[in-house]
Amino acid sequence: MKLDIKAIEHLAVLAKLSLATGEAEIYGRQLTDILGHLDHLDEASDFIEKQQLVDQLNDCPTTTMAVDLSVDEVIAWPKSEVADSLAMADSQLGQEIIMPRIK
Amino acid sequence: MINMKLDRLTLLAARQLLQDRKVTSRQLTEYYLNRLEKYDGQLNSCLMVDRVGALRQADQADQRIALGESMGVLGIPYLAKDNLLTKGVKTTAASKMLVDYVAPYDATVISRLNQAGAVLLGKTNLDEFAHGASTENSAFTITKNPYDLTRVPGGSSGGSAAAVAADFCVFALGSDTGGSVRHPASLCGVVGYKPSYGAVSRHGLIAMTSSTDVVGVLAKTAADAAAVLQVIAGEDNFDATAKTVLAPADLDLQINWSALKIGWPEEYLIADLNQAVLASLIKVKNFLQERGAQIVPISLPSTKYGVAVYHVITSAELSSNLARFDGLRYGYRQAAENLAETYLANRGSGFGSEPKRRIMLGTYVLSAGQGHSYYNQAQQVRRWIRSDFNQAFQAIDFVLAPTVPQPAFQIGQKVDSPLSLYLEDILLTPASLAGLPAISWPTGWSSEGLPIGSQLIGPVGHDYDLLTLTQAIQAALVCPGRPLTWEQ
Repeated sequence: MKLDIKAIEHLAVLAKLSLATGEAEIYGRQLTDILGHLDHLDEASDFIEKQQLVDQLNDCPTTTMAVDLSVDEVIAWPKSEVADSLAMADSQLGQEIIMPRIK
Repeated sequence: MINMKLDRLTLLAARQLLQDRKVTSRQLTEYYLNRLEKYDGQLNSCLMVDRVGALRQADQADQRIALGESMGVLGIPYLAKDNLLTKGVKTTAASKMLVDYVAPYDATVISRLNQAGAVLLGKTNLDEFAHGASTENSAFTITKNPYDLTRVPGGSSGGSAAAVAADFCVFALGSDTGGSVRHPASLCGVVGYKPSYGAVSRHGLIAMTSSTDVVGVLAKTAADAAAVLQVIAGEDNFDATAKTVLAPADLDLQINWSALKIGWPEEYLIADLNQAVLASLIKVKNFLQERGAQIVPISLPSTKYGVAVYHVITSAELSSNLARFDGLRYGYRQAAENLAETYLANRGSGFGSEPKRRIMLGTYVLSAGQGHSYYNQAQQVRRWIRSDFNQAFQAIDFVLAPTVPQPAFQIGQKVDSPLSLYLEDILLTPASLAGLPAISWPTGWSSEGLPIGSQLIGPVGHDYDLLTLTQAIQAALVCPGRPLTWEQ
């Protein structure tokens, strides 16, 4: 898969990134190179299908633990830390954070 | 003034000295602060040293020791990778995006070490947002390998590994998403331990790839890493994936060698494996065999796809995780004409080239059409990788493998070829994708005098068994240290 300058510029807009002059060309070359390596996944998928490998685990690789849904982060968060976080905002009015005007 | 050598102290040795009142935490802390001040200008392992805060913590530790408090990590000086939030102390993730960011709370691991009385000396350098394997991608400075200042320390926890190797601290914290603790540990000649996914809370670790991120430990011995794990591991209300790993009170080094089955995976002995790396690995294999362990040849055919899977999944997750950095609420900000331009300018200038490359790759693999097929395939192959390990662990206890194919490379050598840098992690990503505990420890030296590490991988949750075995090997198969030339 080749990513040309136009594709890179489109991706940059989607990712909300500005690019400096010449960066699109460099990223295009590098990402094309990387995608070339990622294309090996076709080979892996073919192997899985041919061997009819079945996922015996039937779960996501890193979610084997039980999740305690009773945990409420907002309640558990110490009040002093909430206050510190709010103090980081540019200005406050009661509990609302007012964002600075974009110039 | 103290009349003893404090150099290259392990955590257990430092703890003993403190317990016997032969040294105070303040003296230990001053020793490391002085070394940092004197030598770190050559290595650039740290982004920030907090002398005042460290001495205050050391004095508090000394008071607790005087009251007879039990030891653990009480009074032990350490460094933390600068992607772990520290209340009141700058956390930059080595990015211009967070250049002046001061976190309003501590990461859980930092908070647990604080409560246990460990002394935070400062924050270590890393590849920006932990994206890299050389610590060259830091926005602020390039960390150098303590054994050859023209070479990289590995990464992304390169600052932590270099600092432990340079004896700037007793231990250091790092983070391992696809090998970022084990890789620099191997290149710097120290122990690098990556816990099972979920064994240690990720709360306050600046997220890169949430499904593989773990906080790890860089130390001088596996027993030291176990001592740190005992403090930092366990459930946490702020991280629903954090779980309990059963911890023994002490590591019992009485190994029943003849009952041990070690997997020897052919796929890890890749064609471009450095001869010294292979020789070092074979030395470990022979040692285990001599002790009576059974070496079982195994096949993990999914290994060669690890890097591809990793870079699809990690770029997808990090492009989402890094979307929060827009410069509006905090972080780097640049004036622009309107909201859209502000986002573009803040993120375009705030992020360095590696995060930008990875964010764009992630945006691509998450986009509809051809890009998305990469993501689906990667998830499918990730399950295969995990199944491969799961199947292997039916017949064996641990996998023995090289950590990195080659010793440390020259600074700048791989800057223009990101793919070649990504392939540095070829032997590291499979364990990360499967959420397994893994460790690298020093097992030899190359002909150029560079450290070489070997890797053990264990089943999920068997972290202490892994650390115990590594410590037993480390104690019996001693890999002698080498002088640090810049010290003389």
